Amino acid sequence: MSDLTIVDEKVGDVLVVAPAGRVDSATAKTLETDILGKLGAGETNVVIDLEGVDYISSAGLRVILLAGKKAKAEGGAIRLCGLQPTILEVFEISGFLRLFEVKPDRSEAIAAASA
Amino acid sequence: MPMGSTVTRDEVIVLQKVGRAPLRYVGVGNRVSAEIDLTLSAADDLDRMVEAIEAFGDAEGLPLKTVMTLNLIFEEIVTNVINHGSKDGSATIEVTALRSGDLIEGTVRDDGTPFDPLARQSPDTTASLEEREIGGLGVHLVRTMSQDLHYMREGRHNVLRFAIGIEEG
Repeated sequence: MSDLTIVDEKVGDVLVVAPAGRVDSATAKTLETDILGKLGAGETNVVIDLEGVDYISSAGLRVILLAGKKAKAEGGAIRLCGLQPTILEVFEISGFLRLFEVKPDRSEAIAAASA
Repeated sequence: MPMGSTVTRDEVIVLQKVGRAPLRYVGVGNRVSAEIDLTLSAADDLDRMVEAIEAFGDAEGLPLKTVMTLNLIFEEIVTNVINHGSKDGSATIEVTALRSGDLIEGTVRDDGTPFDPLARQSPDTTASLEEREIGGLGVHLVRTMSQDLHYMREGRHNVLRFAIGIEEG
Protein backbone atom coordinates (compact mmCIF):
# COMPACT_ATOMS: atom_id res chain seq x y z
CA MET A 1 0.00 0.00 0.00
CA SER A 2 2.36 2.69 1.21
CA ASP A 3 5.07 1.66 -1.19
CA LEU A 4 8.08 3.75 -2.08
CA THR A 5 11.05 2.66 -4.14
CA ILE A 6 14.09 4.82 -4.81
CA VAL A 7 16.44 4.51 -7.77
CA ASP A 8 19.64 6.57 -7.92
CA GLU A 9 21.66 7.43 -10.99
CA LYS A 10 24.93 9.34 -11.26
CA VAL A 11 25.29 11.49 -14.38
CA GLY A 12 28.63 13.26 -14.40
CA ASP A 13 28.81 14.98 -11.01
CA VAL A 14 25.03 15.13 -10.69
CA LEU A 15 23.22 12.60 -8.51
CA VAL A 16 19.67 11.85 -9.66
CA VAL A 17 17.39 10.43 -6.97
CA ALA A 18 14.13 9.04 -8.34
CA PRO A 19 11.56 8.00 -5.75
CA ALA A 20 8.50 6.19 -7.09
CA GLY A 21 5.18 5.59 -5.38
CA ARG A 22 3.81 7.37 -2.33
CA VAL A 23 5.83 9.73 -0.17
CA ASP A 24 3.69 9.86 2.96
CA SER A 25 4.10 9.67 6.72
CA ALA A 26 4.80 5.93 6.43
CA THR A 27 7.49 6.15 3.73
CA ALA A 28 9.08 9.60 4.15
CA LYS A 29 11.69 8.19 6.53
CA THR A 30 13.01 5.94 3.74
CA LEU A 31 13.47 8.95 1.47
CA GLU A 32 15.03 10.97 4.30
CA THR A 33 17.60 8.27 5.05
CA ASP A 34 18.44 7.92 1.37
CA ILE A 35 18.78 11.58 0.41
CA LEU A 36 20.35 12.88 3.61
CA GLY A 37 22.73 9.93 3.52
CA LYS A 38 23.83 10.85 0.00
CA LEU A 39 24.23 14.51 0.97
CA GLY A 40 26.24 13.45 4.00
CA ALA A 41 28.49 11.40 1.72
CA GLY A 42 29.36 14.50 -0.25
CA GLU A 43 26.77 14.56 -3.03
CA THR A 44 25.58 18.16 -3.08
CA ASN A 45 24.52 18.52 -6.69
CA VAL A 46 21.27 16.58 -6.63
CA VAL A 47 18.24 16.23 -8.90
CA ILE A 48 15.12 14.70 -7.37
CA ASP A 49 13.06 13.24 -10.22
CA LEU A 50 9.46 12.99 -8.98
CA GLU A 51 7.96 11.57 -12.17
CA GLY A 52 7.04 8.30 -10.44
CA VAL A 53 5.55 9.97 -7.37
CA ASP A 54 1.76 10.10 -7.39
CA TYR A 55 1.25 11.25 -3.81
CA ILE A 56 3.18 13.43 -1.39
CA SER A 57 2.15 14.76 2.00
CA SER A 58 3.84 17.19 4.37
CA ALA A 59 6.01 14.34 5.68
CA GLY A 60 7.62 14.08 2.24
CA LEU A 61 7.79 17.85 1.74
CA ARG A 62 9.68 18.08 5.02
CA VAL A 63 12.38 15.72 3.69
CA ILE A 64 12.78 17.76 0.49
CA LEU A 65 13.03 20.96 2.52
CA LEU A 66 15.64 19.44 4.86
CA ALA A 67 17.61 18.18 1.86
CA GLY A 68 17.42 21.59 0.18
CA LYS A 69 18.71 23.36 3.29
CA LYS A 70 21.54 20.86 3.73
CA ALA A 71 22.60 21.00 0.07
CA LYS A 72 22.62 24.78 0.09
CA ALA A 73 24.60 24.92 3.33
CA GLU A 74 27.24 22.79 1.63
CA GLY A 75 27.37 24.95 -1.46
CA GLY A 76 25.20 22.73 -3.64
CA ALA A 77 21.57 22.62 -4.67
CA ILE A 78 18.58 20.33 -4.99
CA ARG A 79 16.70 20.59 -8.29
CA LEU A 80 13.34 19.00 -8.94
CA CYS A 81 11.79 17.58 -12.09
CA GLY A 82 8.94 15.42 -13.37
CA LEU A 83 6.22 16.79 -11.07
CA GLN A 84 2.74 15.52 -11.97
CA PRO A 85 0.06 18.26 -11.98
CA THR A 86 -1.39 17.25 -8.61
CA ILE A 87 2.09 17.10 -7.07
CA LEU A 88 2.98 20.44 -8.64
CA GLU A 89 -0.09 21.97 -6.97
CA VAL A 90 1.01 20.68 -3.56
CA PHE A 91 4.50 22.17 -4.10
CA GLU A 92 2.96 25.46 -5.23
CA ILE A 93 0.71 25.70 -2.16
CA SER A 94 3.70 24.92 0.03
CA GLY A 95 5.72 27.76 -1.47
CA PHE A 96 8.36 25.28 -2.67
CA LEU A 97 8.38 26.53 -6.26
CA ARG A 98 10.25 29.60 -5.02
CA LEU A 99 12.69 27.50 -2.97
CA PHE A 100 13.67 25.01 -5.66
CA GLU A 101 14.50 25.16 -9.33
CA VAL A 102 11.89 22.98 -11.05
CA LYS A 103 12.40 21.54 -14.54
CA PRO A 104 9.89 19.61 -16.66
CA ASP A 105 12.04 16.51 -17.09
CA ARG A 106 15.22 14.80 -16.00
CA SER A 107 17.41 15.79 -18.95
CA GLU A 108 16.65 19.50 -18.45
CA ALA A 109 17.27 19.21 -14.74
CA ILE A 110 20.60 17.46 -15.30
CA ALA A 111 21.57 20.09 -17.88
CA ALA A 112 20.78 22.86 -15.38
CA ALA A 113 22.68 21.06 -12.62
CA SER A 114 25.71 20.52 -14.88
CA ALA A 115 25.90 24.13 -16.08
CA MET B 1 -30.69 10.87 -4.06
CA PRO B 2 -33.23 12.67 -6.29
CA MET B 3 -32.28 16.23 -7.09
CA GLY B 4 -33.70 18.77 -4.73
CA SER B 5 -34.96 16.35 -2.13
CA THR B 6 -34.00 16.78 1.47
CA VAL B 7 -32.99 13.74 3.42
CA THR B 8 -32.19 13.74 7.09
CA ARG B 9 -29.63 11.32 8.39
CA ASP B 10 -32.44 9.41 10.17
CA GLU B 11 -33.79 8.28 6.82
CA VAL B 12 -30.56 6.72 5.73
CA ILE B 13 -30.63 2.96 5.80
CA VAL B 14 -27.34 1.31 6.57
CA LEU B 15 -27.09 -1.62 4.18
CA GLN B 16 -23.78 -3.01 5.18
CA LYS B 17 -21.33 -2.42 7.98
CA VAL B 18 -19.41 -5.47 8.99
CA GLY B 19 -16.76 -5.50 11.68
CA ARG B 20 -13.82 -3.27 10.83
CA ALA B 21 -14.94 -2.77 7.23
CA PRO B 22 -13.91 0.78 6.33
CA LEU B 23 -16.89 1.53 4.12
CA ARG B 24 -20.57 1.33 4.73
CA TYR B 25 -23.18 1.44 2.04
CA VAL B 26 -26.30 3.46 2.60
CA GLY B 27 -29.51 3.59 0.62
CA VAL B 28 -31.37 6.85 0.26
CA GLY B 29 -34.39 6.67 -2.03
CA ASN B 30 -33.25 4.65 -5.02
CA ARG B 31 -29.57 5.51 -4.70
CA VAL B 32 -26.96 3.56 -2.84
CA SER B 33 -23.89 5.47 -1.77
CA ALA B 34 -20.71 4.58 0.03
CA GLU B 35 -19.40 6.32 3.12
CA ILE B 36 -16.09 6.01 4.92
CA ASP B 37 -16.63 4.88 8.50
CA LEU B 38 -13.29 3.92 9.99
CA THR B 39 -11.94 3.72 13.50
CA LEU B 40 -8.17 3.84 13.92
CA SER B 41 -6.08 3.66 17.02
CA ALA B 42 -3.24 6.14 17.24
CA ALA B 43 -0.77 3.29 17.07
CA ASP B 44 -2.19 1.97 13.78
CA ASP B 45 -0.40 2.53 10.56
CA LEU B 46 -2.40 4.48 8.03
CA ASP B 47 -2.65 1.76 5.39
CA ARG B 48 -6.23 0.93 6.34
CA MET B 49 -7.19 4.57 5.96
CA VAL B 50 -5.58 4.77 2.52
CA GLU B 51 -7.45 1.60 1.50
CA ALA B 52 -10.74 3.02 2.77
CA ILE B 53 -10.26 6.30 0.90
CA GLU B 54 -9.41 4.49 -2.33
CA ALA B 55 -12.41 2.15 -1.94
CA PHE B 56 -14.63 5.17 -1.28
CA GLY B 57 -13.26 6.90 -4.39
CA ASP B 58 -13.96 3.79 -6.49
CA ALA B 59 -17.47 3.31 -5.09
CA GLU B 60 -18.40 6.95 -5.63
CA GLY B 61 -16.59 7.28 -8.98
CA LEU B 62 -14.52 10.19 -7.73
CA PRO B 63 -11.79 11.79 -9.87
CA LEU B 64 -8.25 10.76 -8.86
CA LYS B 65 -7.43 14.32 -7.88
CA THR B 66 -10.30 14.43 -5.41
CA VAL B 67 -9.21 11.10 -3.92
CA MET B 68 -5.67 12.43 -3.55
CA THR B 69 -6.84 15.63 -1.88
CA LEU B 70 -9.08 13.70 0.50
CA ASN B 71 -6.20 11.36 1.31
CA LEU B 72 -3.82 14.26 1.92
CA ILE B 73 -6.19 16.11 4.22
CA PHE B 74 -7.02 13.01 6.24
CA GLU B 75 -3.34 12.04 6.51
CA GLU B 76 -2.35 15.48 7.76
CA ILE B 77 -5.13 15.67 10.33
CA VAL B 78 -4.71 12.10 11.59
CA THR B 79 -0.91 12.33 11.86
CA ASN B 80 -1.40 15.58 13.79
CA VAL B 81 -3.64 13.76 16.25
CA ILE B 82 -1.11 10.94 16.55
CA ASN B 83 1.83 13.33 17.03
CA HIS B 84 0.25 16.00 19.21
CA GLY B 85 -3.10 14.89 20.59
CA SER B 86 -2.21 11.38 21.66
CA LYS B 87 1.19 11.43 23.30
CA ASP B 88 0.75 7.96 24.81
CA GLY B 89 -0.67 6.54 21.56
CA SER B 90 -3.95 5.55 23.18
CA ALA B 91 -6.35 7.80 21.30
CA THR B 92 -9.13 6.36 19.19
CA ILE B 93 -9.59 8.23 15.94
CA GLU B 94 -12.81 8.05 13.94
CA VAL B 95 -12.57 9.00 10.28
CA THR B 96 -15.76 9.54 8.29
CA ALA B 97 -16.50 10.89 4.84
CA LEU B 98 -19.58 11.07 2.69
CA ARG B 99 -20.61 12.68 -0.54
CA SER B 100 -23.03 15.58 -0.38
CA GLY B 101 -23.84 16.81 -3.88
CA ASP B 102 -20.65 18.22 -5.37
CA LEU B 103 -18.79 18.08 -2.08
CA ILE B 104 -17.14 15.45 0.05
CA GLU B 105 -17.68 16.13 3.74
CA GLY B 106 -15.06 14.72 6.07
CA THR B 107 -14.72 14.46 9.82
CA VAL B 108 -11.91 13.37 12.12
CA ARG B 109 -12.98 12.79 15.72
CA ASP B 110 -10.59 11.68 18.45
CA ASP B 111 -10.56 11.22 22.19
CA GLY B 112 -7.00 12.46 22.66
CA THR B 113 -5.96 15.49 24.69
CA PRO B 114 -7.63 18.76 23.68
CA PHE B 115 -5.76 19.99 20.62
CA ASP B 116 -6.80 22.52 18.02
CA PRO B 117 -4.49 22.09 15.02
CA LEU B 118 -5.92 25.25 13.45
CA ALA B 119 -4.47 27.35 16.26
CA ARG B 120 -1.08 26.96 14.60
CA GLN B 121 -0.13 29.67 12.14
CA SER B 122 0.80 28.70 8.61
CA PRO B 123 4.50 28.92 7.80
CA ASP B 124 5.74 31.93 5.86
CA THR B 125 5.67 30.43 2.37
CA THR B 126 7.61 33.42 1.03
CA ALA B 127 10.65 32.80 3.25
CA SER B 128 14.01 31.90 1.71
CA LEU B 129 15.39 28.36 1.85
CA GLU B 130 17.71 29.24 4.76
CA GLU B 131 14.94 30.91 6.76
CA ARG B 132 12.08 28.63 5.91
CA GLU B 133 10.78 26.82 9.01
CA ILE B 134 10.47 23.04 8.79
CA GLY B 135 7.08 22.42 10.41
CA GLY B 136 3.51 23.57 10.01
CA LEU B 137 3.10 22.57 6.38
CA GLY B 138 0.48 19.89 7.02
CA VAL B 139 -2.04 22.28 8.55
CA HIS B 140 -1.24 24.82 5.84
CA LEU B 141 -2.09 22.23 3.16
CA VAL B 142 -5.32 21.31 4.94
CA ARG B 143 -6.33 24.98 5.25
CA THR B 144 -5.60 25.70 1.61
CA MET B 145 -7.12 22.58 0.06
CA SER B 146 -10.34 22.36 2.10
CA GLN B 147 -13.35 24.53 2.73
CA ASP B 148 -15.63 24.98 5.73
CA LEU B 149 -12.77 23.81 7.95
CA HIS B 150 -13.46 24.08 11.64
CA TYR B 151 -12.40 22.59 14.95
CA MET B 152 -14.63 21.96 17.93
CA ARG B 153 -14.09 20.39 21.31
CA GLU B 154 -17.19 18.25 21.89
CA GLY B 155 -17.22 16.74 25.37
CA ARG B 156 -14.06 14.64 25.53
CA HIS B 157 -13.54 14.65 21.77
CA ASN B 158 -11.64 16.82 19.32
CA VAL B 159 -13.69 17.16 16.15
CA LEU B 160 -12.33 18.58 12.92
CA ARG B 161 -14.74 18.99 10.02
CA PHE B 162 -14.04 20.00 6.45
CA ALA B 163 -15.37 19.75 2.93
CA ILE B 164 -13.66 19.49 -0.44
CA GLY B 165 -15.04 20.12 -3.90
CA ILE B 166 -15.11 17.23 -6.37
CA GLU B 167 -12.51 18.22 -8.94
CA GLU B 168 -11.42 16.62 -12.17
CA GLY B 169 -7.68 16.63 -12.83
